[in-house]
Amino acid sequence: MISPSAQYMAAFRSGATSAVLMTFSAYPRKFTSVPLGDGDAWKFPWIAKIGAYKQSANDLDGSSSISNMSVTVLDLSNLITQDFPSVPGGFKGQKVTLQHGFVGLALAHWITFATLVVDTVSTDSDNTAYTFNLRDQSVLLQQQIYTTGANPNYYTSSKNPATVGPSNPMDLLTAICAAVQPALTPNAGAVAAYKAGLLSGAQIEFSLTHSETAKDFLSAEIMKPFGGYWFFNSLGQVTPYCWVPFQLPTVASSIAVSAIDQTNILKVPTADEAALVNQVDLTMEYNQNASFAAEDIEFQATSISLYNLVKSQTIDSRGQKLNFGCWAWVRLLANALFQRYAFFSPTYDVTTFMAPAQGGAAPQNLPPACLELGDHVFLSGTGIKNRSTGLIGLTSRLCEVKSFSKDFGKKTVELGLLDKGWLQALSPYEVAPDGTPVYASASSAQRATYAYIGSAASGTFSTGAANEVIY
Amino acid sequence: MAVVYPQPLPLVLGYVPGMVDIPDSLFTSGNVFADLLLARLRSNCDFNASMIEVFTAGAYNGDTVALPVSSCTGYQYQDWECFIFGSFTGSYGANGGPSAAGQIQECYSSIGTDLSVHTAVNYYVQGGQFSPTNDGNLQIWVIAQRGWGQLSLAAPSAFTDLADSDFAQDSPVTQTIWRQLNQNCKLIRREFFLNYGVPIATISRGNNLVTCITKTPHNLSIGDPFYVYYCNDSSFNTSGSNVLASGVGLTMQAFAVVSVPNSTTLTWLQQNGADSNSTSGRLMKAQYANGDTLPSTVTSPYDGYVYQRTVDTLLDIPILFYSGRASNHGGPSGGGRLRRLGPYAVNPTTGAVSAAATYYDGSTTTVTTDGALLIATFAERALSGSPPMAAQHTSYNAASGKKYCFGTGSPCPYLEGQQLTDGLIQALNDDAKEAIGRPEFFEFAYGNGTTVPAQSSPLDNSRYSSSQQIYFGVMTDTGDVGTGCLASFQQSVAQTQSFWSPSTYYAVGTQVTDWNGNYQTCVTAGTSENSPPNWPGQWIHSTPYVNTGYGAGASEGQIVFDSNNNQQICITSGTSGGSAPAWNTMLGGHTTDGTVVWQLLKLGLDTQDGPTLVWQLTGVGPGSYSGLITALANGLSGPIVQGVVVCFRS
Repeated sequence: MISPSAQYMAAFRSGATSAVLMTFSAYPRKFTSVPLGDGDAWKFPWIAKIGAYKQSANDLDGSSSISNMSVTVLDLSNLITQDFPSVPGGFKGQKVTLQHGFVGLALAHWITFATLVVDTVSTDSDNTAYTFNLRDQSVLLQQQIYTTGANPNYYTSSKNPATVGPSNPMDLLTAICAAVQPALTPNAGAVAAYKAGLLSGAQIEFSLTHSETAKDFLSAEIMKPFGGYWFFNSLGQVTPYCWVPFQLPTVASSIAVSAIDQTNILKVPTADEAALVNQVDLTMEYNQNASFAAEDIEFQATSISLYNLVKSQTIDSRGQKLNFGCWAWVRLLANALFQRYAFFSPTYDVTTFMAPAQGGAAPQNLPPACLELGDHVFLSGTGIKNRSTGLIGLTSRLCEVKSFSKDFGKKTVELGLLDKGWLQALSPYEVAPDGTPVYASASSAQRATYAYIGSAASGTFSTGAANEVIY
Repeated sequence: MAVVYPQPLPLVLGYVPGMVDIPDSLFTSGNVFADLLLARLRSNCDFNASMIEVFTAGAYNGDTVALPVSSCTGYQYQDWECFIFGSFTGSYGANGGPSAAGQIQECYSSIGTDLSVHTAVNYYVQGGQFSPTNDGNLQIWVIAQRGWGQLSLAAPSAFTDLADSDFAQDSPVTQTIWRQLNQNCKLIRREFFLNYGVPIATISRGNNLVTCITKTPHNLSIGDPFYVYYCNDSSFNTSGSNVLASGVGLTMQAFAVVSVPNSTTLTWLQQNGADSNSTSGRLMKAQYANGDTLPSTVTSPYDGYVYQRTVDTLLDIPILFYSGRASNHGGPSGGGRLRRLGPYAVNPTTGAVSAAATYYDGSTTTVTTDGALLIATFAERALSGSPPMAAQHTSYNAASGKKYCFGTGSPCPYLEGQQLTDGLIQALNDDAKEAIGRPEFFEFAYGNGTTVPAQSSPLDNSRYSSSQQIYFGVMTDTGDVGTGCLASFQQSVAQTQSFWSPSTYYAVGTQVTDWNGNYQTCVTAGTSENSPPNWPGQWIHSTPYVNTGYGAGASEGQIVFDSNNNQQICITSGTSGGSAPAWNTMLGGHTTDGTVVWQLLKLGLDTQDGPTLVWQLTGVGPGSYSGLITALANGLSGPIVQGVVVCFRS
């Protein structure tokens, strides 16, 4: 999630003119989409056209993708042409930062919505403009890593394997970012949060007999076995995201959700179904014979019986070891995956305005342009077909962002959402402070907040209230 | 022939648990109490219960040791998780007798790096023929420790005796108690060390000089011989087997320490090895011998806990693997033939190692300090409290029902969407404490014809049945065979299965031996509990008796049957009188006996075991005790068998 400042939010709510700013890592000129002030850099709308910024998660494969994006910039007074000889690489390979803000808003408060790299520069509009074709930095992850084994004088091979770990997967993600050239920046905040939370204590270990492609290793061995994927966030940082529930988004922050309702939906969202997964087959304990010595298959019997169909998620994890508790982890992972996909979870394709709803009472908590992969929104809309209830309309349905397309030209955001209503049914009870009274003596607020142990025999607390269920 | 391990232990988990070092910080108030925490607590608890296993089988020269599969979890152990060694159970070979004439001059055994078994017993006729043979039979020991050298916890955990009432209906999940439960679930209390070997952190070779950094202090000095095993880069490993060739003595293929820069770093020379690096393997002193001193401390590779000889329990058992000179394995230092092997001993206070071998050449008896030894060390951490687990003992009370969850096969009940209940968490609490006591070690030293007593846990006074005990016994002294020489020796600790067994259905009329060695006959059919009931024992004069004070009232004190065939329970600890008292015959009545006070607990000799099963004492033992020692030299009593009873709770 891109966290906007209060000033950005105020400008957003005021309906000020929206603008995009494009800056380069080694080129002084900045390009804007609307005039912002005096001086060559600001008084002209350099940007003639800006394509959509599209990103989608491949949550079952541990990866994500960003579509190439183009920005067409006017070659005012041939200034860009004149600059070309002095621009390193002729722009190619330069890092580009794309920001969004509003006329009148100080630059310090603009949000960065994409950090990309110039792939090519083409001449456009009868030689009056240049189109910068931008790509993400994932090409850097095509590099080989772990190229030398235990003996650094020799390439990694079966006779000279590279031992990696035991390490926390987040430490390996960080190490991989540092191993490619030029180094990528990991999202330190997300890494630290996972290392201290969901993946606390988790370990993986590899004995590699050949070098690995960084991207494949990151996806298949670091993120996929832990129920997650990686993506480049708006700042271009390699960001881990795990979909195994550990903290409810609404618990973490009131700004962690975004309200999208009929006041800001451009058209009626399309409701569809996610793919089915009702079996998980995880192989682990990869050994020196290049085979997996252990396998755990978990299946969702109700789903299989209901649909007469088995759809399996296969995870071949060379790093997961039984000694590191991966068997128990597989069951957690499978349980979370079945919650997510075992019953054809609804999905929604939603197109929203970037601007706040006009004249409506839309909650003004987070602009859609600030959403990133893995963020959660509450989806409401009277026209949405609800397959669960058979009715038309949804109200504050918790959804996860699986894809987006931010079109700053059309000023719309298309979102691919996965229904996570099942998670709303669970209460994330908390660890209580010492001295918290027993359930019978607790206040209603304490009962609603803290985890309490109920009776196995009766299924209730002493008050007769039903037991809590585990989050 | 590959050895086959009998004796699967009764605890069976339905999955392969592992250990995750969950920080206490996850149990900070305000954090979400998620299924991840519960499932990992359960996994840690189950791992702790199954992380050490003991496999044993007999073997002869030429056999091959198989890497074991866990009887608890089905886990296939890797070589680096196993401590594999053999101890002589006799001098005869596979043909059942000596393969050559004469008496024994020297003997040797080893397990090669290819896990092949090698034995040699060389015979000598004084003034005549020398006959090298591959006689000798071994008891193979594989002491397996899951994740040894691989798992690394941030710090040792502390134990807190949490009561089930902490997890009763209506209890909140509070920060401190759950941090304590977290610690209990990952508390590693006991470990095994062989020759105080340590895991390797890094090992590198440049210009034939090897520099090694160990994960824990290596306790080696300059000149010490040592082996490297299980390094992924096999070029670092000690090569070949120290096989006794067809002559006296053998070539010792160990490395020797060249320098010791610090407690975890050492160097040595390894000729003809290409420059290389690795990060795995085990480094272990090749042998101990007379005059050596064992380390006063040893550090856990799991969590850095430092076992101290003065604080914790370090049971060091010397195992003979070569009877001749330890210094260069160059044959016996005395003339003639062996008259006595041993005694081999470790001073438990100082760690001083002593070894001896006595030779006789027909006219002169020579006592030497010959003998190369392995040291098997069973380490247990001291826990505070006496006993440390008073609260847990309530779960042994048959009337209150068992709460153990071991064997349910999964952390699944702890997953999202399941109810958070007292049964679930109390089972976890109890199992965590059970795991801490699994296994326990008890040292013994006995001669021929004696039995190793049944053991009870100092943790909570729970008792072990025969099927829960493995007798790790080695002969540490053949004794002096008199005027002649040593022609043969044999020892064993018989492990029978005719004892009461946990979780077993018994039909009416079935007879078993109870833990006191007495006979019990089933009078009402049913399934036994997970641990033995409180069998009544025979009253003995001038004997200490204890009111353990655990459980509800005095129900878990020591129980005897009196001359009226009623059961009396000790309610005041003390020493019984010189003769039997006049027993009170009123139910609940008291009898003073020396300084002991008894209370009539039950009329008759029945013992309830589980919901329906009832036993009746029908005969006074000794029954078919497990742990019956055979120790013979030249067919006669005399040798001493020393060892450790390794007890596994069900």
